[in-house]
Amino acid sequence: MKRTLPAFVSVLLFTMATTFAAAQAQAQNQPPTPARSRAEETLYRWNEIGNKLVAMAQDFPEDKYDYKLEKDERTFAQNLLHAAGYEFLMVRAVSGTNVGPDFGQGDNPSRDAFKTKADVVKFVQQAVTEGARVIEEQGDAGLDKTIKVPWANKFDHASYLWMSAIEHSAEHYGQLVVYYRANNLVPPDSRRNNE
Amino acid sequence: MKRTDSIILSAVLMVCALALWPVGKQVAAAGPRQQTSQPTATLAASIDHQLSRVEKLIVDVAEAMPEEKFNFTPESLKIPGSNYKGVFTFAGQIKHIAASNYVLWSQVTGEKLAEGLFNDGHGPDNLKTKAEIIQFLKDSFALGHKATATFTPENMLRSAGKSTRIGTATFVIAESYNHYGQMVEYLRMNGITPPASREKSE
Repeated sequence: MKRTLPAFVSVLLFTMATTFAAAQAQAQNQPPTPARSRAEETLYRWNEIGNKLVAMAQDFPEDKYDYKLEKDERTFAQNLLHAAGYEFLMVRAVSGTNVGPDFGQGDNPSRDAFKTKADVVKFVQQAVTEGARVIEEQGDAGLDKTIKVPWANKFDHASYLWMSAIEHSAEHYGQLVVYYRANNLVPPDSRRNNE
Repeated sequence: MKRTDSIILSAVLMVCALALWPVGKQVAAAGPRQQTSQPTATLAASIDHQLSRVEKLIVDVAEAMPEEKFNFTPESLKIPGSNYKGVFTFAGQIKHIAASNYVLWSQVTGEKLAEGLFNDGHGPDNLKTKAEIIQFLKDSFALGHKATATFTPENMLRSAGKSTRIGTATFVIAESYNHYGQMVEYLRMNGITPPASREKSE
């Protein structure tokens, strides 16, 4: 080997090391990213859990849609319909509209009205999309609006209703995670995290 | 009808009318949407209410599981066609919720955590008994209540960890619900109806 090659490699490595160190130092000296607005944070959480449910709805095999782990609990499809139904109730309360399909009273849409996987996926997607639209449209001011809760004799801030829906969806997401693994399937979000 | 009966009936009706008169006046005076609705809560009270709700659900579920099942994982059921390899045990779910509570709420309160408390999301290794684990859970929620008590509209957008104070609160409560949902299934897999579902069906 000629003498010039080791010298070239040394220079190259030195240059790479100094460049990396400089980039690191620059990143550390940068001020932290400013906080998003409240509406943006709410929208982020809404979409995060909502899209996890959409991903499950799209991913789970249709022939297992009526699977449930134990008797006296909701099937996979009923869990999704219930979570999305609850989301629609919140969206309707905050927006003061009757957005979304008619699924009767309460927050347990009948499987008879959403017979196929495509029907369920569409319903779950619609709920997430409509909620996101209202959060975006109403912005921060919308979160502070007081809403007469249709199903209780009280007023709540819109922010409280959004939080309730996000929490409720997370609860049912947790249940569906266990349904997934019972069928030797890994939830889409866990697959993504392991990549 | 005898005359005495008529007198008694009239007296009863008069007493009823007098008793209901102030109620009717109150209802008439109030607006159609405000008549008996409770007012909205303060920000701190509202977030604390959300926290108390999930705390009750999780503590009740934890109490409902017998101690000998605390290390239950669905893997032990060997459900045909299932794969639960590496998932949290029931106790592991509780310790994970509590450890996450500590880490995230301490970002709001500024508290310094004890060494090894988070332990990569598994909580302290030395907590073994049901009583110890539930106490750890309750203490973690106590820190949460301490944090929510400080929330005001003025400080909710201050930084807390990677998010704002209110953003952190939303995340930690929602994340607890995810694990609550899993714990509910663990209970049912052991033939135990979750306390919240028992209340509904009663």
